[in-house]
Amino acid sequence: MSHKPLKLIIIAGSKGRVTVKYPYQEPLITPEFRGEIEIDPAKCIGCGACVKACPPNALELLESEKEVILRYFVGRCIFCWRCIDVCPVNAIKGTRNFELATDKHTDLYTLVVHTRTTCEICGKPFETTRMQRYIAEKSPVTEEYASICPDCRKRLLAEAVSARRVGISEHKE
Amino acid sequence: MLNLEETTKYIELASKSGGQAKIEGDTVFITIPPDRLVDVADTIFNKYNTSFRVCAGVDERPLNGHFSLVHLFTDDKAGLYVAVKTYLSGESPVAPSITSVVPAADWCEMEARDLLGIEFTGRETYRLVLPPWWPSNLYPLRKETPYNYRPEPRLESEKLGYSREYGVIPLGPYHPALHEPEYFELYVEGERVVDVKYRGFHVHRGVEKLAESRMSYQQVNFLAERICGICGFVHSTCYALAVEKAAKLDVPERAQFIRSIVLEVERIHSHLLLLGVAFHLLGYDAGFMHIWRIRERVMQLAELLTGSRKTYGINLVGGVRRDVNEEKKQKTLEALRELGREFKNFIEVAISVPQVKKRLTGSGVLPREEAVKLSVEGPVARASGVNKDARRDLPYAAYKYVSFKVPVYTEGDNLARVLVRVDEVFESISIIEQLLDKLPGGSILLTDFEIPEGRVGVQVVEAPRGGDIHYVVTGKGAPYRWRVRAPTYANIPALRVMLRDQPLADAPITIASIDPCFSCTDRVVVVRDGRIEEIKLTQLVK
Amino acid sequence: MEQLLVYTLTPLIVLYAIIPVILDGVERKLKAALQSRIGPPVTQTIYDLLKLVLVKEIKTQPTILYVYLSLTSSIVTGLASLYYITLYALRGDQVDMFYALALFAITTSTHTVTPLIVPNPYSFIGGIREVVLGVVNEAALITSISLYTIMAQRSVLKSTQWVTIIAVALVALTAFIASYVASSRVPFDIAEAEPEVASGIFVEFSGSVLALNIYSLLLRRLIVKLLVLAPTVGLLYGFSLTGLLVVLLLLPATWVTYATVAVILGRSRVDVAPLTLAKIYIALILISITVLLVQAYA
Ligand code: SF4
Ligand code: SF4
Repeated sequence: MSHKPLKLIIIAGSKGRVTVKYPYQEPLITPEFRGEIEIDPAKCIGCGACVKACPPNALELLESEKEVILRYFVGRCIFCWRCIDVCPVNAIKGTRNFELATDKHTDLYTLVVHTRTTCEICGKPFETTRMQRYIAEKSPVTEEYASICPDCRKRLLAEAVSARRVGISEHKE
Repeated sequence: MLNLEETTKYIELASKSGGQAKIEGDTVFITIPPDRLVDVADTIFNKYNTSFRVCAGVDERPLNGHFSLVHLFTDDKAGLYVAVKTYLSGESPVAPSITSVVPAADWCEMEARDLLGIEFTGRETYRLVLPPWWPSNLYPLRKETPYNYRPEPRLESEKLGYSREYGVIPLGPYHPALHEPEYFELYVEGERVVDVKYRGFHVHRGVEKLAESRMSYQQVNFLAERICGICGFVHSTCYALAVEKAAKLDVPERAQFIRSIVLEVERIHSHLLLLGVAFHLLGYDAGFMHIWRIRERVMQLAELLTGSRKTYGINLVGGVRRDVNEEKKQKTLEALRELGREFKNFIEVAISVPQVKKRLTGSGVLPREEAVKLSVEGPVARASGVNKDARRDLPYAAYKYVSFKVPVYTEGDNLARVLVRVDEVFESISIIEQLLDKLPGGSILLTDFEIPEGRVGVQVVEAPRGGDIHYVVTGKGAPYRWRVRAPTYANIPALRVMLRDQPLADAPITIASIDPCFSCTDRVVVVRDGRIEEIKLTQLVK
Repeated sequence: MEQLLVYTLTPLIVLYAIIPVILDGVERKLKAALQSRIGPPVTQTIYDLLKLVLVKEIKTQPTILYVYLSLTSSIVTGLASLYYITLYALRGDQVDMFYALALFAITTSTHTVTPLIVPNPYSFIGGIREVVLGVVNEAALITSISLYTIMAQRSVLKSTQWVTIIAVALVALTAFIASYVASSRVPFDIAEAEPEVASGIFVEFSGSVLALNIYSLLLRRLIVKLLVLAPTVGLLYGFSLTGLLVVLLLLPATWVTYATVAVILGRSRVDVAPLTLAKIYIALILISITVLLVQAYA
């Protein structure tokens, strides 16, 4: 038997106590830490880019006739901050908050409610009002399509193409 | 290291066996008719001395009306991947089993049977992955099965078997001291273990199906990282590399360096974690506490580099999401110096504790022949004299730019497995230092790229527990097929050899010595026929 | 006067009942310090026991009544044993020591067989392991302390013959080892050993039964230390009231020393520990007896 195991006492002595009295003391997190996200309702345009990127479906778009709701459920969030990467208007901010326990289920949800526009042609509910404004600002050229829903746009396009194809085949004959 | 001259023998083998071969990068793709499969597998595994990694079934009926089965080998000396593919009938897929020549293929064949309904001839099969109550003609990985379909579960006893000759000690599936749901049945005679049965796959989460059905390429990175809480970054790197290989993407060097750095941080973390647990199991709790005190530093280092203490979440197909600046580099180097010093100081003390030394030495021996036969991975293999390490043999990410030793021990006992990990901690520290020193400039993420459909990528990443393998067939916006095999999948079968004829008291430390990760292993599969069967123990021992 | 002494000793028993719980708190604090942790407050063991007693009882198995009985008798005989050790420390009458030893044997055996009453395989495995170790160790503990007592009685140290001194030293060593082992600390806490296979004897105990079990273990830890301290002090210092005070002062120091040893070591393997111990004990005791006999006839 060697005396080496006794060195433990020296090591313990020189290291002191490394545990902390959390939660009575600041948690040991660094500035790099990724925690809960915060969506700025004033900035969000309801485009859904974050919803598409979010791996665990913590962000969802709930659509009704009048509204589009962006719902953040922190219970599913994996704090990857992919939503922050993709948001076109920087509406999402990362925080260092990780103490999320609550006894109220509703505390786990954050909602951002958007009003919707309707399609100029078919009248079906369509993108959010803010989104329409945003697109108009970014690329004024698309203005004439901006208020037409994708279905109608597709139909218009199909009609235009078939009209042209008919024209070509006539020419061949 | 990659040696393309070695590919000739595979091409010849393919043409001799009535098939074809094609070389893409470091992978030889061989397609042969099913009736030649056993011969070809025999030659590749036993004659060419390759490692068998896994087999994967693919439902290709929507593409070409067939099922296919791919056996994945790696020729570690030549740095080559060898994928042997056979097409099977689309109506009733039957393949010959290769377990007679490659015993390590035991589980993956049964997994293909459970999940895709591929039958195997020339072997006995039982339900490995799916629970006993699962409908017998419902195959989750067939494309027509919706990912969110849930058959009504029925409660049924899953007792494995029993013995009148020996005492039976059930261990798990829910046991206060086991950290994950797994079930061992130990058969004992007095204090000696005569045999062991294992039943896992309780936490099969169907991640492969999920990725194939409802996620996008970039989302899968995060899912892959959640296969395992300890070696998650290995999985996301392995997935990203496999997709990048399939799509032939030119990922920025800087990203590859950062991946390697984080992989090594993860390895140090994993090894320290295991050492702590091992000391705890040996009743040396001071060792547990002090090793975990040192481990805390690694977690802070990980947070500095990635933003998370664990499950880092910085991998994407095409690169990484967090850069290393000068300040972080200096902080990392400083943390590593301190870490190395403290670890060295303490591990000497811990290993010198008489009970620790005595109980690790000579217990849970895995002889070299068994290690080769079962194609075990990582520290388990290296402690039994099998010199393999994918970082050196099949270099990926930035490992070709650094030099490091691969520790190999020949004793094959628990002590050897512990010492391999101790040595590796020091190697990892040196690898990170070298990588930081050589860190090239440039971007860290490829942004504009396309992933063509129908390409195949195979990648092995050396996880702390051994080689992890991902097999990806690309599809539209998401993988068409994604097969994951974690190292513990290959190591569990070796436990039977290690536990047999050992004192019961040594069973926990021996099980821990492979550093098992059951959730990784289970990720895709389900288990044994619910019938209570009485199998002769001698038969089990085989 | 002697009779009076006996009566005034009774309050001391109350003190004995509390000491082990507090010293266990100290042990946990020390363990934490050696593991670089803050650790729980010194009073934690008291809180733990109180919590267990106040918790709602869940009857997990049918033999609970017998478990209560055996644990209670273990505690009562334990306190009685402490009473006789104190008398011995005061008066140096070896008969007191033999009473104490006999009572301690009952304490240990009732405590040790308790897990065997419980119909649970883990409890049974843990219990059997304890019994095997107990049989070996208890024999050595009782033999060596009896020898030790006899030697202390004869005031052997007054003779300057080196053979005698060696014999006494060997017996004392055996007694200390046996007392350490009997305190069920690492590396000999094998009843709780291998937590992953057999959760040991505690697996079916909860609430007040668990509290009783823990308490009776702590009480045993106190007794085994006093069993060796009393003859040691008697031998070196003498039996008297101050002698008793010295014993009580040395108690925390011994407790802390035992605790430190436990932190530094790992757990021995269950089947190896009794065998190794048996060999050591037999050697030590045989040598010292031979020495004594040689000296007696010479
Ligand atoms: S942080 Fe990640 S998981 Fe959370 S909401 Fe954003 S994208 Fe989703
Ligand atoms: S990406 Fe940004 S703007 Fe679009 S929905 Fe999400 S938070 Fe709102």
